[in-house]
Amino acid sequence: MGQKIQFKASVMAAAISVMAAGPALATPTEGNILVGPDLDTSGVSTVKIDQSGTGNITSSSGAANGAAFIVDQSAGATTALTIQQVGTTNSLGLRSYTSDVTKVQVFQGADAETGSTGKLGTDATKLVNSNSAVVQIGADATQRAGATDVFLTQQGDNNVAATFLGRATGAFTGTLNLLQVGNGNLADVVVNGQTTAGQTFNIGQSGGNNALSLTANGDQSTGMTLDFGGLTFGRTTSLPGASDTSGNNNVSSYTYSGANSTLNGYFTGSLAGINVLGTDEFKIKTLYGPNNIQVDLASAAATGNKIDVTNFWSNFAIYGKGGAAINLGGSGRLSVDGDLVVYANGGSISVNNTNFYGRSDFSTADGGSITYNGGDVFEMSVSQSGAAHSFSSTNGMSGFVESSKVTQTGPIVNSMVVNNSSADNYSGFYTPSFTLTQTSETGGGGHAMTLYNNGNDSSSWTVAQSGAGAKTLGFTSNTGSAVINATQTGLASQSATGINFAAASGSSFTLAQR
Amino acid sequence: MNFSPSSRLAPSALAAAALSAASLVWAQSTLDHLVVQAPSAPVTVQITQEGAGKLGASVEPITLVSASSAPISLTVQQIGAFTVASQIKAYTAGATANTITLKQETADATPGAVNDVWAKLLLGTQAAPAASQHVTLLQIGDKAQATIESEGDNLAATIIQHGNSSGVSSLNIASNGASNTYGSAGAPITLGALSTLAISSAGDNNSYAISLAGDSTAGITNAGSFNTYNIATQLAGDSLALAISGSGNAFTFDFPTTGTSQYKAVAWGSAATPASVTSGNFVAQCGGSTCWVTDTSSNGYTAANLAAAANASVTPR
Repeated sequence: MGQKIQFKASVMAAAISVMAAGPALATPTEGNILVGPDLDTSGVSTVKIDQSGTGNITSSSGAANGAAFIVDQSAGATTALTIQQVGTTNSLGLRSYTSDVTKVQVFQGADAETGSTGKLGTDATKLVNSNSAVVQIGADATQRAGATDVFLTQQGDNNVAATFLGRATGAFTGTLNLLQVGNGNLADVVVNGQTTAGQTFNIGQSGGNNALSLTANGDQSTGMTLDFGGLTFGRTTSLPGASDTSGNNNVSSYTYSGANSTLNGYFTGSLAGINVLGTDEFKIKTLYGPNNIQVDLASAAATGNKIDVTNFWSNFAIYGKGGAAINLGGSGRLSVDGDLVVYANGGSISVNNTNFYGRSDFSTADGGSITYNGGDVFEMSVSQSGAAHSFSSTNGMSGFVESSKVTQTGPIVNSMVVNNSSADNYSGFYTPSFTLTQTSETGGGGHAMTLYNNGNDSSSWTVAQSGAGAKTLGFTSNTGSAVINATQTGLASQSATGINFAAASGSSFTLAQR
Repeated sequence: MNFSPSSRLAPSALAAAALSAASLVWAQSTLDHLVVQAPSAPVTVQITQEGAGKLGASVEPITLVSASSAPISLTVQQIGAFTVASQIKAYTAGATANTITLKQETADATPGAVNDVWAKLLLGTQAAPAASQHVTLLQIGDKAQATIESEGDNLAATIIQHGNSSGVSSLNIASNGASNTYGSAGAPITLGALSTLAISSAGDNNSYAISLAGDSTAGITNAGSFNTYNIATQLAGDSLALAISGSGNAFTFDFPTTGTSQYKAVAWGSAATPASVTSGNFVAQCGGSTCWVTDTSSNGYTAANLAAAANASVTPR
């Protein structure tokens, strides 16, 4: 049988150690309940609570995830709160009502916490499941937000971790480290009203079918950093290792309504982080900006990875490896007011119905494809190299187009389809320009380029194809006027087919074949 | 934006080496399909092909179609190789004041070098005649072949072929429109040595100014009226065959009178024994080194009479 301990308001000793355990960690029993809300840790430097068994609950009400567990009725005395739950179906509800506790550490899993830094075990037999932890630090006006270090770890499967940090009138000023090792875990991190510069939130998941949800609300006017993935965990002893890269994490989403902040997502091969594999996807959503967001994808040799970005008003960078597929935009028009950098190594980039009002830079190496469909383009640069690759905007750049530059380099067969469908509402205001280059230093691979001009603005095109392989060029100007200067040079044949000026207006076409 | 990923694309050098090598070996250049259709404002097309070039195909020639007053300008320069023929076909219909400039030359741009250049211009059809076209054709090299078929009026053509005795060039002009100008006194149609010129003119008020090189053959079939021919020969041995019908046509010949390249004879038709140029209603006159023949049969003369009159030989003074 488990035990139920009801804390009463009292002044604790200099150190509190509560053991609410079954017979042994290896054979947990059930039903240990630690109930708040009246724990007063004033004057206590260290509070440590260990629960082992099944169905342990630490909360104010005794219910799973219920209400709050109160820490420290006075300001600033408690230096460390450590709660460890070992076993399955444990739950924790924690609120730091009045605490400026230095450290809050929560461990859910089979391993014992070791030292102040804690660690995650790698022994699969010790991974326990179905734990839940809800941690609130300064989430409402009744809570203090002064914790400097929150460390929440869960090891096992189907665990749920939810943190609510700060509020509009009171920022959480500490550091969050949230680690999950196992499969089917859910991490939900909400940051509100962050105004303190340089704050770092580290969220890491390794295993499979994990879900991550990041939400930052409010204008982070002085800057905030969210690091998620496996690379920049603050505690080196707790970093997931390469062996933890099992992938298949499920839907991960990031909803960002703040501004002036930096989000770094790292998905690397050397460190597990979050691997978005198979048909799973990772979503990023921002409502206000400017923000800086950077995501590094894992180098896992999987295809079909997706990163979906919606309503993005910030500077953004995505780096993909190992065949990652990056999809931007969707059914709703995506707007990118800041600068965008997207890189895929051997993977694909798809942009759908997206407006780019800053510089946008797309690149692939070692093959890969880039597909662009719809949207405004202010200053776009596309660079592709290595194995066979392709760029296609077959369905057009349907908004205004200011500048578009596409460069393909590689010895294998490359293809490029560019469709200028610029249709701004200020005809004549924008003058779309396209600089399109296909080169190959070696090899006999050819280049194919097919161009369409369907816009309502006067456009200019500079086209260069060179290299040892055969080259083909097609250009169709259906509406608007187009000035195109094209050169084809190289050892092998070069041909231009399908050069059409239908109902052309004030156009010129200059082609040099050498 | 100061992102600093660990794995960024290294800038790839452009294919400078390939470009350099390309200058050593000629590549095959083709432009198979070019259509400019009904522009609402002027359209300019410039094509340069170096190497074995090919522009257009017989089944799908380069096509310029202007249904409005907006002119189309097509300029093509082909610097060809020695073994692969270049081919140009252009087609215009219904346009006003389109400009077509075709320049074909050998790889080293040396007149008379061995080359095979071939150009065919289809200027309008009966259903969609071309009008006011400005055509310039320059072929430098032997074995050049050019064909111009014109349906339309007010064409102005400048045609120059350079060749020498190592090859035979030919120029065929078939014009059914009116008021077309093929060459002018100041810029005549110029053919190289051993060239063959064939003109078939069925329209009226056309003018031809032709300068033949040595050992060239010219054949003119005229079915229209009030056409003007100004023909100059440069070397002995040129032959000229005329088949004339219609009325009011005028011929002016400019023959060399000095040196060893004096003009020898004009085969006026195919008759073994040419009739006098004064027979029928053709009048040949000479002044200085220039002789000219005037068709005075402005009314009432049959084609047979004209054909008989065409069997003439003209010898300079």
